[in-house]
Amino acid sequence: MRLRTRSIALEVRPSHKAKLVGILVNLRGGRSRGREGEPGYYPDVLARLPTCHFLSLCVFESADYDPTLVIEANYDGDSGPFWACLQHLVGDELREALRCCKRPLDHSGKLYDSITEPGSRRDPAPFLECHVMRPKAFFHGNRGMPRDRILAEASLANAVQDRLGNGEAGRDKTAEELREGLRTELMPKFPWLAEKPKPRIPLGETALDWLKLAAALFLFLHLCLVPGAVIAGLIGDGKHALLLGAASVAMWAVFNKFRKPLEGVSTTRPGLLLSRLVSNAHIVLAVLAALFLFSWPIVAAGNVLALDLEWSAAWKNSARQLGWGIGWLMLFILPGLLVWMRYLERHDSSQEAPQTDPVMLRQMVELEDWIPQNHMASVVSLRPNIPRRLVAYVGTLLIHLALRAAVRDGYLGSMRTIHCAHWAFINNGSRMLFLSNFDLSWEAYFDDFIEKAHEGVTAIWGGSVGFPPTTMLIEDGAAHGRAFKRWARHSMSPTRFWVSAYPDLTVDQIERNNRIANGLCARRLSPKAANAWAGDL
Amino acid sequence: MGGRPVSYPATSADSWKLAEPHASQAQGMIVSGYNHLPVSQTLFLEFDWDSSTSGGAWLKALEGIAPVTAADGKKDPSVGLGITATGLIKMGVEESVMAGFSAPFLEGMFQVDRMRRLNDRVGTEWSSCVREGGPLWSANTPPPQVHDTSGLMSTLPRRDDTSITTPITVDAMLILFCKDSREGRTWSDRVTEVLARCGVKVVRHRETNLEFDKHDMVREHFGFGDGLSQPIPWDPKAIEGAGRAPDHVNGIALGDILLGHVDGHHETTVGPMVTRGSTHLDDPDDPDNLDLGLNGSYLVVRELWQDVAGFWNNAAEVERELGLDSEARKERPGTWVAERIIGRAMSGDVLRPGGVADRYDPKAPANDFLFFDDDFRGLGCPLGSHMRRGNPRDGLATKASQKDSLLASSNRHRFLRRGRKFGPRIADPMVDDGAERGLIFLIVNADIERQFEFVQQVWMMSPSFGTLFDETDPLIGPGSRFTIGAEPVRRRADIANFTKLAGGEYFFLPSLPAIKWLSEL
Ligand code: HEM
Repeated sequence: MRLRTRSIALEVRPSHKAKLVGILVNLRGGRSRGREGEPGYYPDVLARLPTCHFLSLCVFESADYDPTLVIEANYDGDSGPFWACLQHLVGDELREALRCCKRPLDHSGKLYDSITEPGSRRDPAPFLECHVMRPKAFFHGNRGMPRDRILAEASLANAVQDRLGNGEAGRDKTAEELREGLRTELMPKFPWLAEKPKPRIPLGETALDWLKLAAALFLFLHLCLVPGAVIAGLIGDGKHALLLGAASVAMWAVFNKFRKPLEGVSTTRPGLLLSRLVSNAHIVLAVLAALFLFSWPIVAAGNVLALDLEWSAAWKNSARQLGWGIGWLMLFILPGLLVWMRYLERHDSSQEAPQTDPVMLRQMVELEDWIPQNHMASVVSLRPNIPRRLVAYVGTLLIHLALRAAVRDGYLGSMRTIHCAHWAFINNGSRMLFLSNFDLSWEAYFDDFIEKAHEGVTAIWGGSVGFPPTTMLIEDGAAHGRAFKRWARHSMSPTRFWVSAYPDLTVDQIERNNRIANGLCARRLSPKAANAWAGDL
Repeated sequence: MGGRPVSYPATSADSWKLAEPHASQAQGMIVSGYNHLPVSQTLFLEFDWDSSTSGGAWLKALEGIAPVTAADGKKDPSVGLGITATGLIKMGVEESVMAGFSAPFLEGMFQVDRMRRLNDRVGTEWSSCVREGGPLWSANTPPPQVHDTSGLMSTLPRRDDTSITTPITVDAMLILFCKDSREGRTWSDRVTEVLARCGVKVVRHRETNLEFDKHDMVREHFGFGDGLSQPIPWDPKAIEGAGRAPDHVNGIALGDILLGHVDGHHETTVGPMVTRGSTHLDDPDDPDNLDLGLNGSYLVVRELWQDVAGFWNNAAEVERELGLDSEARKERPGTWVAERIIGRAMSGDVLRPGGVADRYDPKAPANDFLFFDDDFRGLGCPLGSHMRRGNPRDGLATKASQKDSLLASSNRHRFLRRGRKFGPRIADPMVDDGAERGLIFLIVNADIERQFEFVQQVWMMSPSFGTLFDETDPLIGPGSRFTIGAEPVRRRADIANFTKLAGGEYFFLPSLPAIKWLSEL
């Protein structure tokens, strides 16, 4: 069952903001029994939303836009049943909340009216489904783990710990004897131990992830081959070589001049992007070779159709065009795009001291750190110029596809504290919404970003208004620790209502429980594997 | 055992020196643990002057009898000074100047959300890490006043008490470092008298000391070597003879312990700017202005009481329960467990599978060790032991490719530990003598949130440190289970809490020029 991550953003009537906050707070206040007031611990909600991993509702407030209600849901399986369950649980409150929102100007206006008119009892779910957004990028720390499996494995891990007690009983056994003993003892209570564990990520899904990434990269790079191919059709090779030589020397000279960070911006080793490219030269060459091979039949067919060539001549001609295309791509277009980016980076302003509203800050801090997980909700405006926007849209998509394909174990850089996070563009793509359910404190989360994953973070947020100064797309930026934290805090709003289905488990612990469970499912393990398995207990 | 890091530092934890002009501006206790002055008088001060006394008068008076010592060479005796945020306000520092200090300092250690994060108080109860009845002293910082025009704050349900008052209010702390106790007491009596004349009361007095054993090691009350691991600050501009790069294992940016220098997150903290000689702010670029923060720092102080007999009896009992008493050789009962709680052997050496780490210097325990290659599973030094939680080094990496990045990231949370113990040494560690003893835990850091609070919250008190589940620090945590790595399967013990918080606060450790400025108030 796939974990789905979705959100809904609705503009709120400013006059109704306080009322809406009140509704969301009551959702929390009336429910948080059990452990003293801890946000995120709601047994009744979880029982009635059986597929939900994380659910949050917050009202964004800013001087730059009217309040916005955001509902975030991470759930297993189909959307329909989830929204229906949610409506069943808090339908009246949701209808009341919708009454605080602005009437949408699009086709859903009528539906809105029918749900919100005085005395209406109509279900809000269809309206919500109409406004559900798919994130542009999302990240799941425990990929392929449905909620039921997480909970079942946690309860197995607890049972294992209870049996082991202080460890005294296991001292004289081998790891395999210990494992077999536990397996037999626990089998009646956990009959699923007899089954082979389902693969977390099916082969088909993996293949599809890689295919999507390859297709997106191909499309992007293939388009970049066009200028070279067109020029090759217009002038002879000798002249072309001269032209490309002159253009690329000039471009590289400009590039070289501007590639270094400005005074006061540099944080880490400058030249990170270039050194990454050089150290991964074999991958770059392989990508270019694949690009050539896959483009070749397409361009050859184009030659046959457009220039009316024979196939043999078309193969030759297209190989020549592609060769020039790749030459222009590497020697002129890519450095050119980077020069353009550097121009923007050198002239964009970044905000050194964004002011966080003290009332909002107090509320955020008050709601954080009750359990080992926390939630963050942020909205930032994107810089208005076209290349920045393009980088934000295309970059976010490519980063998403690359993460989906290459990251299977939940690690972003060397950090693994994110359960479910997503980025979505709202307001016609002019603002970026970020919602994250993570482990440990907000400070620790951001220290991780700054220390372990600042390049990726800079790539994603670098195009946002006020972000700390960046160099070559991925350098500096988020590595400016305090500036980045201040900027991020100022973009946040307090999460008024937040539910976690497994409030005391971290991503690492879910993985550890999974290893324990998988080990116990096996009929037999080699002594080495059994030892490694026992190391997790 | 693991190889020694390739790069030898030009400086070590106790030999690094600040370059001028920083050395003559920063307080000496930042660069030195004052091992040559093993006895100290810690005076906690409350400002109680009348309106006719100026806010800086006491500092002027202090100049005559106990001038604060700079970091430019060994001096006997020496003085260190810290002032709380409420202290600065009482001295007359204007609101606009105060705004330049960091938030945790301004809010104080007992701000309600901070108490929850540090695990001192959750909801309406003090945690079991705190002395019964609550802490005795703090700055009693009033809860921050936010101007809530939206009315939202008052409508939100609160689950805890918003303001805590301790019986003793501390506005500043003065530490007099001496060679011996008698000299120190006479001096502190004179200082107390002089301060009283300026309306400053000594509201709490602790004689603290570094007691060296015959191997020249400082031992805390439980009997373990303390202060063995310190970070080594690095800055090519402000540290004399700084090598080309920070020490691989223990190097940190100077800005992490001294304000006004580049810190571990590549930034320079600029403190509140003031005009020399007057209090109102002026053009910040005026060369005549003073950065109050420059070469100052923040001190975190926590008075932690130790129940030595409780600790050792509990360790001995756990050892019996684990069936280890027969293994527990000729040593004191409980030693095996106690060593694992700390992570270092009684000798000070870090535990390794089957023994302890090799020494490079036969006279001192090694401190340039790492965990990933040599003790990944915590079979020697348990994953949740006090020193592994205090500084996980590269031990939180789960793959070899992450070692360097996790080591670097651990180091961004380190601080200088300058704590000293108080109270008499216990005659028999298994028998309670009723005496009050403990540690004035005192650390120097530039970013309280990223350093002290992070370590306390995310490493020490977190029930989810690494892949450990539902357990906290076995030494300073509220009492929980404790996993001790073993093959084929871990052992697990229940450890109770024997260190109690009896007071604490955040202090600003002003530079000498800042003290001069403050004395003019
Ligand atoms: C009564 C209270 C405490 C006692 C008796 C105590 C004792 C010790 C001992 C014996 C060591 C090992 C020796 C060494 O590496 O220097 C140590 C290390 C350490 N402790 Fe504590 N400690 C106490 C409280 C704290 C607190 C409250 C914190 C921080 C929140 C803390 C943080 C550390 C750190 C960071 C290390 C160094 C680890 C390293 O760098 O390898 N300690 N402590």
